[in-house]
Amino acid sequence: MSVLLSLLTSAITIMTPLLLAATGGLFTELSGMLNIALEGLMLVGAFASIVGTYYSQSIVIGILIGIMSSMILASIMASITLYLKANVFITGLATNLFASGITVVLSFHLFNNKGVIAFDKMPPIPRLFEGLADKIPIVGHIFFGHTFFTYLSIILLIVASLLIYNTPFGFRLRAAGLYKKSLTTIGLSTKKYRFIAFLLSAVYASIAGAMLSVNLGAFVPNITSGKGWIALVVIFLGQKKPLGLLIASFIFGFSEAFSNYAQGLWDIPSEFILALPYVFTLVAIILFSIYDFNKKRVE
Amino acid sequence: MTALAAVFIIHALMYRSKTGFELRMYGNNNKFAMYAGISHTYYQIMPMFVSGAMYGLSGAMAIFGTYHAVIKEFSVGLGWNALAVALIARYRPFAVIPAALFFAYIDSGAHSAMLYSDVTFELSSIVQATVFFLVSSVTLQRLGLGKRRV
Repeated sequence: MSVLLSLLTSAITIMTPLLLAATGGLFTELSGMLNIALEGLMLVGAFASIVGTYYSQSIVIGILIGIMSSMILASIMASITLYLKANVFITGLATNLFASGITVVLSFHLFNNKGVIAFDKMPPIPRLFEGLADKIPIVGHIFFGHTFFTYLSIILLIVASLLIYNTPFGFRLRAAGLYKKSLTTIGLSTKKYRFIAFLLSAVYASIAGAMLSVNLGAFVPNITSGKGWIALVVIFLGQKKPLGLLIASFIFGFSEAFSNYAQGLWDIPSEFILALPYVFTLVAIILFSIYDFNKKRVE
Repeated sequence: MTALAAVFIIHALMYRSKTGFELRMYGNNNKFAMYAGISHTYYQIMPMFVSGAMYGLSGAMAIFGTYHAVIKEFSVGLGWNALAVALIARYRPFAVIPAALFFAYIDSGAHSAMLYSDVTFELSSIVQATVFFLVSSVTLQRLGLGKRRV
Protein backbone atom coordinates (compact mmCIF):
# COMPACT_ATOMS: atom_id res chain seq x y z
CA MET A 1 0.00 0.00 0.00
CA SER A 2 2.72 2.44 0.98
CA VAL A 3 4.54 1.44 -2.21
CA LEU A 4 1.53 2.42 -4.26
CA LEU A 5 1.27 5.74 -2.44
CA SER A 6 4.91 6.60 -3.04
CA LEU A 7 4.52 5.52 -6.66
CA LEU A 8 1.57 7.86 -7.09
CA THR A 9 3.47 10.70 -5.46
CA SER A 10 6.47 10.32 -7.74
CA ALA A 11 4.15 9.79 -10.72
CA ILE A 12 2.74 13.27 -10.12
CA THR A 13 6.25 14.73 -9.95
CA ILE A 14 7.23 13.03 -13.20
CA MET A 15 4.06 13.96 -15.02
CA THR A 16 4.35 17.69 -14.36
CA PRO A 17 6.87 18.60 -17.10
CA LEU A 18 5.11 16.26 -19.50
CA LEU A 19 1.78 17.90 -18.81
CA LEU A 20 3.21 21.39 -19.22
CA ALA A 21 4.97 20.60 -22.48
CA ALA A 22 1.94 18.77 -23.83
CA THR A 23 -0.33 21.70 -22.98
CA GLY A 24 2.03 23.96 -24.88
CA GLY A 25 2.04 21.60 -27.81
CA LEU A 26 -1.75 21.54 -27.74
CA PHE A 27 -1.87 25.15 -28.92
CA THR A 28 0.24 24.51 -32.00
CA GLU A 29 -1.44 21.18 -32.62
CA LEU A 30 -4.89 22.80 -32.61
CA SER A 31 -3.66 25.57 -34.86
CA GLY A 32 -2.71 22.95 -37.41
CA MET A 33 1.06 22.74 -37.00
CA LEU A 34 2.99 19.75 -35.73
CA ASN A 35 5.38 21.29 -33.25
CA ILE A 36 8.23 18.84 -32.93
CA ALA A 37 10.40 21.60 -31.49
CA LEU A 38 8.98 21.11 -28.00
CA GLU A 39 12.13 19.25 -27.04
CA GLY A 40 14.41 22.09 -28.08
CA LEU A 41 12.23 24.76 -26.54
CA MET A 42 12.22 22.82 -23.27
CA LEU A 43 15.99 22.50 -23.38
CA VAL A 44 16.56 26.21 -23.94
CA GLY A 45 14.03 27.02 -21.23
CA ALA A 46 15.76 24.65 -18.82
CA PHE A 47 19.19 26.13 -19.47
CA ALA A 48 18.18 29.79 -19.47
CA SER A 49 16.03 29.50 -16.38
CA ILE A 50 18.63 27.75 -14.27
CA VAL A 51 21.31 30.20 -15.33
CA GLY A 52 18.91 33.07 -14.67
CA THR A 53 18.04 31.64 -11.29
CA TYR A 54 21.70 31.23 -10.42
CA TYR A 55 22.65 34.81 -11.28
CA SER A 56 19.55 36.51 -9.92
CA GLN A 57 19.02 34.14 -6.97
CA SER A 58 15.30 34.29 -7.64
CA ILE A 59 13.31 31.47 -9.17
CA VAL A 60 10.66 33.77 -10.60
CA ILE A 61 13.18 35.91 -12.47
CA GLY A 62 14.97 32.77 -13.63
CA ILE A 63 11.79 31.30 -15.07
CA LEU A 64 10.95 34.59 -16.74
CA ILE A 65 14.37 34.64 -18.39
CA GLY A 66 13.79 31.05 -19.49
CA ILE A 67 10.43 31.96 -20.97
CA MET A 68 11.94 34.94 -22.78
CA SER A 69 14.75 32.97 -24.38
CA SER A 70 12.47 30.12 -25.33
CA MET A 71 10.06 32.60 -26.90
CA ILE A 72 12.86 34.17 -28.90
CA LEU A 73 13.79 30.78 -30.33
CA ALA A 74 10.14 29.96 -31.02
CA SER A 75 9.59 33.28 -32.77
CA ILE A 76 12.61 32.64 -35.01
CA MET A 77 11.23 29.22 -35.86
CA ALA A 78 7.68 30.47 -36.35
CA SER A 79 8.66 33.40 -38.54
CA ILE A 80 10.80 31.18 -40.77
CA THR A 81 8.06 28.57 -40.95
CA LEU A 82 5.18 30.95 -41.56
CA TYR A 83 6.63 33.96 -43.36
CA LEU A 84 9.42 32.28 -45.29
CA LYS A 85 7.18 29.27 -45.93
CA ALA A 86 9.55 26.60 -44.72
CA ASN A 87 8.64 23.03 -43.90
CA VAL A 88 7.55 22.96 -40.27
CA PHE A 89 9.14 19.58 -39.73
CA ILE A 90 12.58 20.71 -40.86
CA THR A 91 12.44 23.92 -38.85
CA GLY A 92 11.39 21.88 -35.84
CA LEU A 93 14.37 19.59 -36.29
CA ALA A 94 16.56 22.66 -36.71
CA THR A 95 15.25 24.11 -33.47
CA ASN A 96 16.05 20.92 -31.59
CA LEU A 97 19.51 20.79 -33.08
CA PHE A 98 20.11 24.46 -32.38
CA ALA A 99 18.96 24.09 -28.78
CA SER A 100 21.19 21.12 -28.08
CA GLY A 101 24.12 23.00 -29.61
CA ILE A 102 23.61 26.42 -28.08
CA THR A 103 23.13 25.13 -24.54
CA VAL A 104 26.44 23.28 -24.63
CA VAL A 105 28.30 26.14 -26.30
CA LEU A 106 26.94 28.69 -23.84
CA SER A 107 27.65 26.49 -20.85
CA PHE A 108 31.21 26.10 -22.12
CA HIS A 109 31.63 29.85 -22.46
CA LEU A 110 29.96 30.74 -19.18
CA PHE A 111 31.20 27.98 -16.91
CA ASN A 112 34.04 26.37 -18.88
CA ASN A 113 32.27 23.06 -18.57
CA LYS A 114 30.60 20.98 -21.23
CA GLY A 115 29.16 18.36 -18.94
CA VAL A 116 27.00 18.52 -15.85
CA ILE A 117 26.94 21.95 -14.23
CA ALA A 118 25.99 21.76 -10.59
CA PHE A 119 25.02 25.08 -9.02
CA ASP A 120 25.98 25.26 -5.38
CA LYS A 121 24.03 28.33 -4.30
CA MET A 122 20.45 27.92 -5.40
CA PRO A 123 17.38 29.45 -3.80
CA PRO A 124 15.13 26.78 -2.27
CA ILE A 125 12.10 25.73 -4.26
CA PRO A 126 8.93 26.44 -2.34
CA ARG A 127 6.72 23.45 -1.64
CA LEU A 128 3.06 24.24 -1.24
CA PHE A 129 0.45 22.87 1.18
CA GLU A 130 2.98 20.93 3.23
CA GLY A 131 0.91 21.33 6.39
CA LEU A 132 -2.13 19.95 4.60
CA ALA A 133 -0.16 16.90 3.44
CA ASP A 134 0.49 15.83 7.01
CA LYS A 135 -3.02 16.53 8.22
CA ILE A 136 -4.93 14.45 5.67
CA PRO A 137 -4.25 10.74 6.14
CA ILE A 138 -3.14 8.43 3.30
CA VAL A 139 -3.92 10.59 0.28
CA GLY A 140 -2.48 13.81 1.70
CA HIS A 141 1.01 13.24 0.39
CA ILE A 142 -0.21 12.39 -3.09
CA PHE A 143 -1.94 15.69 -3.72
CA PHE A 144 -0.19 18.14 -1.40
CA GLY A 145 3.36 19.04 -0.58
CA HIS A 146 4.67 19.06 -4.14
CA THR A 147 6.77 21.86 -5.54
CA PHE A 148 4.87 24.85 -6.84
CA PHE A 149 5.53 23.67 -10.40
CA THR A 150 2.95 20.91 -10.03
CA TYR A 151 0.19 23.30 -9.01
CA LEU A 152 1.35 25.76 -11.65
CA SER A 153 0.97 23.06 -14.29
CA ILE A 154 -2.63 22.39 -13.25
CA ILE A 155 -3.44 26.10 -13.16
CA LEU A 156 -1.85 26.60 -16.56
CA LEU A 157 -3.79 23.64 -17.94
CA ILE A 158 -7.03 25.23 -16.77
CA VAL A 159 -5.93 28.57 -18.23
CA ALA A 160 -5.13 26.87 -21.53
CA SER A 161 -8.47 25.09 -21.57
CA LEU A 162 -10.35 28.34 -20.89
CA LEU A 163 -8.29 30.12 -23.52
CA ILE A 164 -8.93 27.47 -26.15
CA TYR A 165 -12.59 26.79 -25.56
CA ASN A 166 -14.02 29.98 -24.06
CA THR A 167 -12.46 32.91 -25.87
CA PRO A 168 -12.73 34.25 -29.42
CA PHE A 169 -8.97 33.80 -29.65
CA GLY A 170 -9.22 30.08 -28.95
CA PHE A 171 -12.09 29.73 -31.37
CA ARG A 172 -10.04 31.29 -34.15
CA LEU A 173 -7.01 29.24 -33.19
CA ARG A 174 -8.98 26.04 -33.62
CA ALA A 175 -10.45 27.36 -36.85
CA ALA A 176 -6.92 27.83 -38.17
CA GLY A 177 -6.31 24.16 -37.57
CA LEU A 178 -9.63 22.81 -38.76
CA TYR A 179 -10.28 24.83 -41.85
CA LYS A 180 -7.81 27.47 -42.88
CA LYS A 181 -10.07 29.17 -45.39
CA SER A 182 -12.72 29.96 -42.78
CA LEU A 183 -10.34 32.44 -41.18
CA THR A 184 -9.24 33.92 -44.47
CA THR A 185 -12.83 34.51 -45.58
CA ILE A 186 -13.64 36.62 -42.51
CA GLY A 187 -10.50 38.64 -43.06
CA LEU A 188 -8.24 37.25 -40.37
CA SER A 189 -4.71 36.03 -40.83
CA THR A 190 -4.06 32.36 -40.10
CA LYS A 191 -0.39 33.11 -39.74
CA LYS A 192 -0.96 35.46 -36.85
CA TYR A 193 -2.80 32.83 -34.83
CA ARG A 194 -0.25 30.16 -35.62
CA PHE A 195 2.53 32.52 -34.59
CA ILE A 196 0.84 33.17 -31.26
CA ALA A 197 0.32 29.44 -30.84
CA PHE A 198 4.06 28.89 -31.28
CA LEU A 199 4.85 31.57 -28.71
CA LEU A 200 2.39 30.09 -26.21
CA SER A 201 3.84 26.64 -26.67
CA ALA A 202 7.29 28.10 -26.04
CA VAL A 203 6.06 29.59 -22.76
CA TYR A 204 4.68 26.27 -21.58
CA ALA A 205 7.64 24.25 -22.77
CA SER A 206 10.13 26.53 -21.10
CA ILE A 207 8.32 26.26 -17.76
CA ALA A 208 8.45 22.48 -18.20
CA GLY A 209 12.17 22.69 -18.86
CA ALA A 210 12.66 25.03 -15.90
CA MET A 211 11.02 22.48 -13.67
CA LEU A 212 13.47 19.80 -14.81
CA SER A 213 16.62 21.81 -14.24
CA VAL A 214 15.65 23.99 -11.27
CA ASN A 215 14.26 20.99 -9.40
CA LEU A 216 17.56 19.23 -9.89
CA GLY A 217 19.66 22.29 -9.09
CA ALA A 218 21.96 21.37 -11.97
CA PHE A 219 22.04 21.45 -15.72
CA VAL A 220 22.81 18.23 -17.56
CA PRO A 221 23.36 18.32 -21.35
CA ASN A 222 20.17 17.10 -23.01
CA ILE A 223 18.37 17.18 -19.71
CA THR A 224 15.02 16.84 -21.46
CA SER A 225 16.03 13.37 -22.74
CA GLY A 226 13.08 12.83 -25.05
CA LYS A 227 10.45 14.38 -22.79
CA GLY A 228 9.40 16.70 -25.61
CA TRP A 229 8.72 13.73 -27.85
CA ILE A 230 6.74 11.97 -25.14
CA ALA A 231 4.77 15.18 -24.71
CA LEU A 232 3.81 14.91 -28.37
CA VAL A 233 2.61 11.36 -27.77
CA VAL A 234 0.67 12.62 -24.77
CA ILE A 235 -1.12 15.13 -26.99
CA PHE A 236 -2.26 12.44 -29.42
CA LEU A 237 -3.06 9.95 -26.69
CA GLY A 238 -5.07 12.61 -24.88
CA GLN A 239 -7.22 13.18 -27.97
CA LYS A 240 -6.10 16.84 -28.08
CA LYS A 241 -8.35 17.64 -25.13
CA PRO A 242 -7.16 19.20 -21.85
CA LEU A 243 -8.63 16.49 -19.63
CA GLY A 244 -7.24 13.82 -21.93
CA LEU A 245 -3.80 15.38 -21.60
CA LEU A 246 -4.06 15.20 -17.82
CA ILE A 247 -4.98 11.51 -17.91
CA ALA A 248 -2.43 10.58 -20.55
CA SER A 249 0.42 12.38 -18.81
CA PHE A 250 -0.54 10.76 -15.53
CA ILE A 251 -0.41 7.34 -17.16
CA PHE A 252 3.06 8.16 -18.45
CA GLY A 253 4.21 9.48 -15.12
CA PHE A 254 2.94 6.39 -13.39
CA SER A 255 4.57 3.97 -15.80
CA GLU A 256 7.88 5.79 -15.47
CA ALA A 257 7.62 5.87 -11.70
CA PHE A 258 6.83 2.17 -11.76
CA SER A 259 9.80 1.37 -13.98
CA ASN A 260 12.07 3.37 -11.65
CA TYR A 261 10.74 1.44 -8.68
CA ALA A 262 10.73 -2.01 -10.28
CA GLN A 263 14.31 -1.95 -11.54
CA GLY A 264 15.80 -4.11 -8.83
CA LEU A 265 12.66 -5.97 -7.99
CA TRP A 266 12.71 -8.92 -10.35
CA ASP A 267 15.35 -10.98 -12.01
CA ILE A 268 15.05 -9.10 -15.31
CA PRO A 269 17.77 -6.84 -16.74
CA SER A 270 17.02 -3.29 -15.66
CA GLU A 271 17.20 -2.04 -19.24
CA PHE A 272 14.04 -3.95 -20.04
CA ILE A 273 12.22 -2.39 -17.15
CA LEU A 274 13.49 1.06 -18.06
CA ALA A 275 12.02 0.52 -21.52
CA LEU A 276 8.65 -0.11 -19.91
CA PRO A 277 7.18 3.39 -20.42
CA TYR A 278 7.93 3.15 -24.13
CA VAL A 279 6.46 -0.33 -24.45
CA PHE A 280 3.51 1.07 -22.62
CA THR A 281 3.24 3.90 -25.15
CA LEU A 282 3.20 1.45 -27.99
CA VAL A 283 0.53 -0.70 -26.38
CA ALA A 284 -1.56 2.33 -25.51
CA ILE A 285 -1.40 3.65 -29.06
CA ILE A 286 -2.30 0.26 -30.54
CA LEU A 287 -5.22 -0.18 -28.14
CA PHE A 288 -6.35 3.32 -28.83
CA SER A 289 -6.30 2.90 -32.58
CA ILE A 290 -8.24 -0.37 -32.27
CA TYR A 291 -10.81 1.45 -30.17
CA ASP A 292 -10.98 4.25 -32.72
CA PHE A 293 -11.34 1.78 -35.57
CA ASN A 294 -14.19 -0.04 -33.87
CA LYS A 295 -15.96 3.19 -33.05
CA LYS A 296 -15.78 4.28 -36.66
CA ARG A 297 -17.15 0.94 -37.79
CA VAL A 298 -20.11 1.21 -35.43
CA GLU A 299 -20.91 4.64 -36.75
CA MET B 1 30.23 2.05 -52.17
CA THR B 2 27.34 0.31 -50.51
CA ALA B 3 25.70 3.62 -49.78
CA LEU B 4 25.98 4.69 -53.42
CA ALA B 5 24.62 1.33 -54.53
CA ALA B 6 21.73 1.77 -52.13
CA VAL B 7 20.92 5.15 -53.69
CA PHE B 8 20.85 3.56 -57.14
CA ILE B 9 18.70 0.67 -55.95
CA ILE B 10 16.22 2.99 -54.26
CA HIS B 11 16.08 5.17 -57.35
CA ALA B 12 15.42 2.12 -59.51
CA LEU B 13 12.80 0.91 -57.08
CA MET B 14 11.03 4.23 -56.90
CA TYR B 15 11.19 5.46 -60.47
CA ARG B 16 11.90 2.46 -62.67
CA SER B 17 9.59 -0.23 -61.36
CA LYS B 18 5.90 -0.98 -61.11
CA THR B 19 6.13 -1.10 -57.33
CA GLY B 20 7.62 2.38 -57.24
CA PHE B 21 4.97 3.73 -59.57
CA GLU B 22 2.21 2.33 -57.42
CA LEU B 23 3.94 3.57 -54.29
CA ARG B 24 4.19 7.11 -55.63
CA MET B 25 0.58 6.95 -56.74
CA TYR B 26 -0.43 5.84 -53.28
CA GLY B 27 1.57 8.67 -51.74
CA ASN B 28 0.17 11.34 -54.02
CA ASN B 29 -3.46 10.38 -53.76
CA ASN B 30 -4.38 7.33 -51.80
CA LYS B 31 -8.05 7.46 -52.73
CA PHE B 32 -7.20 7.42 -56.42
CA ALA B 33 -4.80 4.55 -55.81
CA MET B 34 -7.52 2.67 -53.98
CA TYR B 35 -9.90 3.04 -56.90
CA ALA B 36 -7.14 1.98 -59.26
CA GLY B 37 -7.02 -1.30 -57.39
CA ILE B 38 -3.79 -0.82 -55.51
CA SER B 39 -3.46 -2.64 -52.23
CA HIS B 40 -4.01 -0.24 -49.38
CA THR B 41 -2.23 -2.08 -46.60
CA TYR B 42 0.67 -3.29 -48.72
CA TYR B 43 1.84 0.23 -49.48
CA GLN B 44 1.47 1.28 -45.89
CA ILE B 45 3.75 -1.49 -44.65
CA MET B 46 6.17 -2.12 -47.53
CA PRO B 47 7.88 1.33 -47.43
CA MET B 48 8.43 0.89 -43.70
CA PHE B 49 10.12 -2.42 -44.41
CA VAL B 50 12.38 -0.89 -47.04
CA SER B 51 13.32 2.05 -44.87
CA GLY B 52 13.96 -0.30 -41.97
CA ALA B 53 16.31 -2.26 -44.20
CA MET B 54 18.14 0.95 -45.12
CA TYR B 55 18.47 1.99 -41.49
CA GLY B 56 19.84 -1.42 -40.63
CA LEU B 57 22.31 -1.16 -43.48
CA SER B 58 23.44 2.28 -42.37
CA GLY B 59 23.92 1.04 -38.82
CA ALA B 60 25.98 -1.87 -40.07
CA MET B 61 28.03 0.45 -42.31
CA ALA B 62 28.66 2.82 -39.41
CA ILE B 63 29.97 -0.07 -37.31
CA PHE B 64 32.02 -1.87 -39.97
CA GLY B 65 33.17 1.07 -42.04
CA THR B 66 33.45 4.15 -39.85
CA TYR B 67 34.00 3.23 -36.23
CA HIS B 68 35.25 -0.36 -36.46
CA ALA B 69 33.78 -0.85 -33.02
CA VAL B 70 30.38 -0.97 -31.39
CA ILE B 71 30.22 2.23 -29.39
CA LYS B 72 27.26 2.68 -27.13
CA GLU B 73 24.84 5.24 -28.58
CA PHE B 74 27.02 5.86 -31.63
CA SER B 75 23.90 6.73 -33.60
CA VAL B 76 22.83 9.67 -31.43
CA GLY B 77 21.57 12.42 -33.71
CA LEU B 78 22.44 10.44 -36.82
CA GLY B 79 18.86 9.49 -37.54
CA TRP B 80 17.60 13.04 -37.12
CA ASN B 81 20.28 14.45 -39.38
CA ALA B 82 19.47 11.76 -41.91
CA LEU B 83 15.82 12.71 -41.76
CA ALA B 84 16.70 16.32 -42.44
CA VAL B 85 18.94 15.31 -45.33
CA ALA B 86 16.10 13.28 -46.77
CA LEU B 87 13.68 16.19 -46.42
CA ILE B 88 16.13 18.50 -48.17
CA ALA B 89 16.54 16.00 -51.01
CA ARG B 90 12.73 15.79 -51.33
CA TYR B 91 11.72 13.06 -53.79
CA ARG B 92 15.03 12.69 -55.59
CA PRO B 93 17.20 9.82 -54.38
CA PHE B 94 20.23 11.20 -56.18
CA ALA B 95 19.95 14.53 -54.40
CA VAL B 96 20.59 12.67 -51.15
CA ILE B 97 24.27 12.34 -52.08
CA PRO B 98 25.17 16.06 -52.19
CA ALA B 99 22.92 16.82 -49.23
CA ALA B 100 24.56 14.15 -47.10
CA LEU B 101 28.03 15.23 -48.23
CA PHE B 102 27.22 18.79 -47.25
CA PHE B 103 26.27 17.76 -43.76
CA ALA B 104 29.30 15.56 -43.40
CA TYR B 105 31.39 18.53 -44.54
CA ILE B 106 29.97 20.76 -41.80
CA ASP B 107 30.62 18.07 -39.22
CA SER B 108 34.21 17.42 -40.23
CA GLY B 109 34.77 21.16 -40.52
CA ALA B 110 33.71 21.53 -36.91
CA HIS B 111 36.08 18.71 -35.97
CA SER B 112 39.08 20.46 -37.47
CA ALA B 113 37.94 23.84 -36.14
CA MET B 114 37.88 22.29 -32.69
CA LEU B 115 41.44 21.06 -33.13
CA TYR B 116 42.91 24.36 -34.29
CA SER B 117 40.97 26.90 -32.24
CA ASP B 118 39.05 27.07 -29.00
CA VAL B 119 35.52 26.63 -30.36
CA THR B 120 33.55 23.67 -29.11
CA PHE B 121 32.40 20.84 -31.32
CA GLU B 122 28.75 21.62 -30.68
CA LEU B 123 29.17 24.74 -32.81
CA SER B 124 28.68 22.51 -35.83
CA SER B 125 25.16 21.68 -34.73
CA ILE B 126 24.38 25.40 -34.60
CA VAL B 127 25.65 25.82 -38.16
CA GLN B 128 23.65 22.77 -39.26
CA ALA B 129 20.58 24.17 -37.53
CA THR B 130 20.95 27.46 -39.38
CA VAL B 131 21.11 25.58 -42.65
CA PHE B 132 18.06 23.51 -41.68
CA PHE B 133 16.14 26.63 -40.80
CA LEU B 134 16.58 28.21 -44.17
CA VAL B 135 16.95 25.31 -46.58
CA SER B 136 13.31 24.41 -46.97
CA SER B 137 12.03 27.96 -47.19
CA VAL B 138 9.92 28.36 -50.32
CA THR B 139 10.30 32.15 -50.34
CA LEU B 140 14.08 32.01 -50.29
CA GLN B 141 14.13 29.33 -52.97
CA ARG B 142 11.96 31.53 -55.14
CA LEU B 143 14.33 34.45 -54.56
CA GLY B 144 17.27 32.32 -55.64
CA LEU B 145 15.47 31.13 -58.76
CA GLY B 146 14.44 34.68 -59.68
CA LYS B 147 18.00 35.89 -59.54
CA ARG B 148 19.18 33.05 -61.71
CA ARG B 149 16.63 33.84 -64.39
CA VAL B 150 17.81 37.47 -64.61
